[in-house]
Amino acid sequence: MGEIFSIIIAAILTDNVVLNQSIGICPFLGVSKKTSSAVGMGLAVTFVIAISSVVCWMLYEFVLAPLAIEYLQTIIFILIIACLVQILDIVLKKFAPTLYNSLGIYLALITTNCAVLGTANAVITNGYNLLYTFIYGTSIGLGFMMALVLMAGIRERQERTIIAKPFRGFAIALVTAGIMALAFMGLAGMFA
Amino acid sequence: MNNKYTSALTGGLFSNPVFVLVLGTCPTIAKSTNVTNAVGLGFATMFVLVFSNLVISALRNIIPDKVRLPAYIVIIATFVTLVQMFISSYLPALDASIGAFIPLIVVNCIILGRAEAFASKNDVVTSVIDGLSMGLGFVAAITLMGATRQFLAEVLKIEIFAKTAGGFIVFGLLMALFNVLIGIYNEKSKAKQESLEEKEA
Amino acid sequence: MTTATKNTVKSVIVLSLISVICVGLLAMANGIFPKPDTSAKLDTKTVALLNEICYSESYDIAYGTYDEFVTSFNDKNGTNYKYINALYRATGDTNHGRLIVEAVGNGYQNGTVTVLVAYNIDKTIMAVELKSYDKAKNNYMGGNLVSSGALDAVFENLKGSSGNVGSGKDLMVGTGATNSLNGVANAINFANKFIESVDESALPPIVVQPLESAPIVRYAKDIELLGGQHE
Repeated sequence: MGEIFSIIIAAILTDNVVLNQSIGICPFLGVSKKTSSAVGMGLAVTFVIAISSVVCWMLYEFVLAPLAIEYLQTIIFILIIACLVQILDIVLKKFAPTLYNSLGIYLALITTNCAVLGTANAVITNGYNLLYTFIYGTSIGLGFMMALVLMAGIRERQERTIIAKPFRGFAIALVTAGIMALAFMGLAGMFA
Repeated sequence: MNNKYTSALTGGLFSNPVFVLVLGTCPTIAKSTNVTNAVGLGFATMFVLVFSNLVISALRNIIPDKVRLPAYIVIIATFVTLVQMFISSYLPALDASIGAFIPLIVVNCIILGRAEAFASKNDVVTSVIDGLSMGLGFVAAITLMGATRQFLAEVLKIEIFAKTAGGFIVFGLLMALFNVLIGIYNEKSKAKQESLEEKEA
Repeated sequence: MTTATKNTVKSVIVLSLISVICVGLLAMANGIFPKPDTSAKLDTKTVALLNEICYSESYDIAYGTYDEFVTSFNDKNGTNYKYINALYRATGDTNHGRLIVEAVGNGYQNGTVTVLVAYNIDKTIMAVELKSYDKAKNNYMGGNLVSSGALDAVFENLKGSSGNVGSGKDLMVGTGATNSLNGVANAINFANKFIESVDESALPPIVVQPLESAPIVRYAKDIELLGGQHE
């Protein structure tokens, strides 16, 4: 039980996918302008990461490893992720059209979100079993969502201030993210 | 003809994938902790970019529009896996430091972005030039980040820059700097343009 | 066939063709590229580490990475990231016959870790040394544990123990550090399990070989550390 807890805390706080591992940054910069779309994006990404890590894990354990074709890992994993995002696209269009519209093109871009493929690879490298894979995937997604929502809150405020010309757009967002990452580093020694 | 090649060639500078188009940010921040990692990852990415641009451009009239994304992904992933095999077999030291990020090249927005925006619409030669230019632009950007961070962390001993937080900050500052430089260049060329127009008038 | 169906069929065919060609290319490449060599070797670094935990004038590899004893143990008990690399043996006059296990473990936060565990005759731990750890995963080892000596304190505590060392957290109790060493704990526990299964009487004999013909992998004779001497 303690190990599960430490996986969750690590994935969200101390080894956060965006602020520590620095993966999943493109959507992080792109969608973090409004808090409402940030939450929606965060949930969508959490869903994709959780399901894709599980599916990829199963494919690795039951197909790739036994057949010794591990070199197909990259191709197979990314195709699975693309399929999952496509399915999510269809499902959201039908059942949650407002969310679908607010995400816009960024829904399709979840496929190229480094965090998804990165997490799928990480569960293989770490040798997790199925349960830990699911927990880890979900926690990574939640950590992403947390970073995204926090960032959105800050950027909403920045919209109303005057920023020096060279910094407008992404540059100031990056520096902000850096300061946020700094703050989170303080949590590093908290739990093992 | 000439213009097409020139614009493809200079794309890496004026539409720098990292500082202007803001693509491929993940490896730029994560693995620019020192120059060796940056150069290694940069060239690995460039290899994939050039070859996938080449193949996708060559097949652009054969791949039906409906399946173009999966097809691009398969092609890009193939080249990424080839690079992965090469590095793990022949460059174990590099594999130990950036090994985890090589498979992530397949989701590097630069590669899919160029495939979609350029290679699918242009002939092979131009696409290869674009791949080389964008690739070198990426290498230059990530190496600049790497050199800056390594200098700050090792020479000036400000250790924060070796961590992710420092990476974000350096990236933001360099991007602002790049904007300033491009802004100055744009103003200068606009001024030159206007003085030429005045002469003609 | 309607155009729509024709288009779908064409799409499927093209995609399948591309996939097949790519997979074939990769299969070929997989056969051509040499596999990274992760087998046990008595290189300078390993001998230096062995010297620290179980000093001897020379060593050999009793069971190497690909020896059947090791591979069958790994097949039965190991995983992709938990396995035995080799069983070294001190063959010099000092500590003659002592066994050292090289074990790899994975931890939830600290990637893969390789440790060398030297054993006394009664199979209690004589000493432990860290051989390598996965720097690619931003793990806590790179930061404080190794440089501050906390890891050495952990290994000091383990001397004379046998049996399960508990989890990574248990290893860190009393050292004041708050990081866990799951990878290290896993590796040590796995080494303990392995050494239990080793029957010392069934080990291959220690062979003293003339300088010129000794194969480089099984004998550390030409490691300059030992001054090129051997018995």
